[in-house]
Amino acid sequence: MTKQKLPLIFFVLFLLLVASMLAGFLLGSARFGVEELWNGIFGENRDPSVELILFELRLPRVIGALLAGGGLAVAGLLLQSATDNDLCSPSVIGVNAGAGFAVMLLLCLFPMAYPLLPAAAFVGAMVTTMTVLGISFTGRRIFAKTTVILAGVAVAALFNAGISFFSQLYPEVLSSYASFSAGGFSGVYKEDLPVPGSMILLGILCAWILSPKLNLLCLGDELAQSLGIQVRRIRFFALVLSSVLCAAVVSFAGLLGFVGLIIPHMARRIVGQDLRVLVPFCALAGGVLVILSDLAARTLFSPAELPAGILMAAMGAPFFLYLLLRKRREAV
Amino acid sequence: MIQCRKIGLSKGKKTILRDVDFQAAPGEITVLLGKNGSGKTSLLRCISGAYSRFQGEILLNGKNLSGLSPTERARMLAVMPQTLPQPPVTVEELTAFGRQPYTGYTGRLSQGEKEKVRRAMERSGVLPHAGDLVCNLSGGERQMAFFTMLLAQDTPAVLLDEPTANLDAEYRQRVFGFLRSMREEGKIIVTTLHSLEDAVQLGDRFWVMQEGAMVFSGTAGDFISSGLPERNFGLRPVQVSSPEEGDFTVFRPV
Repeated sequence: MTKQKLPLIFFVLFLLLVASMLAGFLLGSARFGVEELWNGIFGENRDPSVELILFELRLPRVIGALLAGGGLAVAGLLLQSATDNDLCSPSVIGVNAGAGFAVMLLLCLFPMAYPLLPAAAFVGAMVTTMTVLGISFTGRRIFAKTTVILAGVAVAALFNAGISFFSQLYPEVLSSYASFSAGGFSGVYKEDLPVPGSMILLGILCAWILSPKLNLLCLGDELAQSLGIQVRRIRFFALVLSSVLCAAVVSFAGLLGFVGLIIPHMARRIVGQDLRVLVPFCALAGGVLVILSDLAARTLFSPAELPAGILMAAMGAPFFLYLLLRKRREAV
Repeated sequence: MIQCRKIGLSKGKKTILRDVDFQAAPGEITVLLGKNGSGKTSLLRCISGAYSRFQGEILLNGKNLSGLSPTERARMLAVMPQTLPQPPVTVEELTAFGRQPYTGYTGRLSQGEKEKVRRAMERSGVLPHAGDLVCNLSGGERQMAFFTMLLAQDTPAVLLDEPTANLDAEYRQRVFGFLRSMREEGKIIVTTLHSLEDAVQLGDRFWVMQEGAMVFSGTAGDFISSGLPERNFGLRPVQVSSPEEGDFTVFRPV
């Protein structure tokens, strides 16, 4: 990929994003044309039901999917760069287990506080990831990139055991928990988005500012340090950013898998390894993928609706295997 | 001038370096010799800043290295570790990394910086490989790519850990050429070497380490006549004369 092609690639990606947002906005169990959309926005005789579907239901979904996709893709990219491990995804640092455990705790012990579910998911994800990072960066070890993965696995195992324990004690909460853990946007309303949305946008901006320094981590710690990088600090900051992005997404979209894994892989193949380019590319491409997944989830089996997370896993897993097999063939 | 004073380093209960005094002057190739585990790489890492918890002080051109910010240090000291990574970036991108200490927070290179990157690639002869991925290069070519990054970093002092390990004769001579041209520019060059022949061919000043302590300092001639090659390395220096190459020293097992 030459640098001269970058503007064209970003232009195509931007067009794709606009097209997928429009499709997400107009298509669904009730379909609208562009004319109805125009009338809905600018027309004098606005139909309240059209307005309700378009602006109260679909717009938050599309924006939510865009934010979630962008946030998770950039979070995955940060994680993979900071740990120097292509297979690292948000679940590795305990995001899913932590958020899941907090939600399970809320559903079981404080069912009346159900409206606080997004906050619980956010706090659960943050507390867990901070614990994992705390463990990894404690002590005299300078190079903590493998420790973070091992600590993540151990802490996640603990919280998953907690989830199983509570699901045995309170089997009646399993259906509510399942809808959270599958991930999706059916319950996303516009008042859910401003706080996590601003965190995601700010997180992506910080990731972009951090990207020139993160680029150097591929040289290994010793060389990166000799080029003026405070390796430990940069790695820690990237992981904290990744945690904030994931926790913000989990708070309104539940546990969406695979975006953080697939998009960075795809992006590297298309635009190369420079994180200054990868961060904005992943933010947009992640948005496109999740918007289209959500659209497919609510139109493929219409009027029934699948959680977008299930569809994404169904598409993502084979795609990921394809990438792995291709890589193996290239290696042979 | 690099000056190390009373450097001590321990890992757990094990002492790695004990009261090491060392110095390297500009315009000279300073060679650090010693058997595996004698502390050469650890001393280089103390100087480079990879190890920060050591006793003693290290001065570079009169400035205490511990007091410098990472960027200031990166503008004064470049490092080539023994094991080179295989980053998935192009040779041009790798060379541009060498200018990182001189860029702002966006990491964008100015036209002047880009020109320095191009000149470094031209000088080391890697310009034809500019667009190739470093991870796809052969061992020797990869070493050249990292040397180019070192050239682009353009620091007054350079630390190299076994720069000729695993290189064939052609690439070894190219590395020697690099080091000699850096010497002519008046840089401070500190390198560890395994091969005593390479060391004698290249080095101006020799320092020998043994079990974490500095046991010798002197010129190539002093080193050869010191008895250290035999005692420390089990090798006997032999003077050889050849009509093509003149007089040189080889080392044979005792």
